[in-house]
Amino acid sequence: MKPGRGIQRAGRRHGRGFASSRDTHDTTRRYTTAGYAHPCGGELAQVLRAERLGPSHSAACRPAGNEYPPLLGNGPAVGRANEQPLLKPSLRRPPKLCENGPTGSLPAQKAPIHVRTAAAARQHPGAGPGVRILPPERCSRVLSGPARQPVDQHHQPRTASLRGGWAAGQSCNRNFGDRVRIVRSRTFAVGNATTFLMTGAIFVAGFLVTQEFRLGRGYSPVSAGVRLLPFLATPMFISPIAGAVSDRIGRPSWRLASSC
Amino acid sequence: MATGLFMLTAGLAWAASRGSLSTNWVELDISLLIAGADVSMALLTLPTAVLNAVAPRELGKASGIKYMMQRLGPAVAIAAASALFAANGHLGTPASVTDGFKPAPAACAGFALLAAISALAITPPRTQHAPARDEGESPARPEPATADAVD
Repeated sequence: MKPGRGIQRAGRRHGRGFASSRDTHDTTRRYTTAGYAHPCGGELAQVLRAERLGPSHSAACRPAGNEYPPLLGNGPAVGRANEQPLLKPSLRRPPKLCENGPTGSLPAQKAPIHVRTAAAARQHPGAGPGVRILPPERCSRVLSGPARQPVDQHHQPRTASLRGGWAAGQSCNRNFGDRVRIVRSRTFAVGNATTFLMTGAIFVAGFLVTQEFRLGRGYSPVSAGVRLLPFLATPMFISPIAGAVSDRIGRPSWRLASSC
Repeated sequence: MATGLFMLTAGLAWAASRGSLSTNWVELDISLLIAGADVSMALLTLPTAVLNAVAPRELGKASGIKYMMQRLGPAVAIAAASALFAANGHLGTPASVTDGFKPAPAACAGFALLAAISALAITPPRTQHAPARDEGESPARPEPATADAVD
């Protein structure tokens, strides 16, 4: 589908439906003001004009044939863009990676080269596994997107994805000791142990007192539940008071929930 | 927090000492009322203390570990208390159920006592150093204030 037609169709659909055409204009303006640059360097209007002119004009922009990611191509994308303004399309849709510099040593080929193995990725530094490397004459500029990560030369890329990265922001160079570093904090460790013991005591009390009421004393379920209410419903009333008291007399450092 | 946990211990110990068939349920409920009131005291301050011990960028990890402990505690404690129940009684008659129930609040009180003792070991984080160091440190070691200084 051509992106130009797509946005027209989407605009008509929204104009007839739940959104007005003004929303569509707002969307266009948001995309333009969001600073999203087309891979060819043009803004949205230039892109749409180039797409309307035909494939011969936009062939230089397309990384591989007709596989250019559909910019504003479908209607629901426009609708979602209305709900989430200023969301860069490049964040939703990782652009194709075109390498001009490091892959200049590649032989010029007509068909794009698919680099999918780690060994092939190591031969071309700067490209990760699964990155499609296009010949230089099909790329007008080098793109950088969220899918492009610098490859650590000391680790296999596969190993890097296994070792690091279960928390955001971790690089593959961290060892396991850095990951469990927070457990070494005495407050954190002791607080977790206290949480363990305290919740254990609470749940065991609730569980076994229920058994005692039901089986030992033969209460009906309703009466057993009512007799358990002092244990379970008291925090509902005490918690606000206890929180206020804790804020007043507690240690001040414990109150720094966001500025620690 | 430690006060609340010690009072929780007292409430559960009271329930353990009076947990027999001759005891009126009102007395048992009063002890449970005290325990419930103290639970709310500890239940509020404990996550605050735990989550304040870590750097802001590790709050998600810390919260996950804390929640894991929060689920793991009941699992282990209920298993232990069920074993204690099965060792002292069985579900056949009300008297046997009560026989099995008697040591269970004692086990709860033991858990709460251990929790209170461990809560005494909680030290406040060095928050007067934390913001300045947090900005200056490298991402690899973001919080040496609580990690090293209290050891």
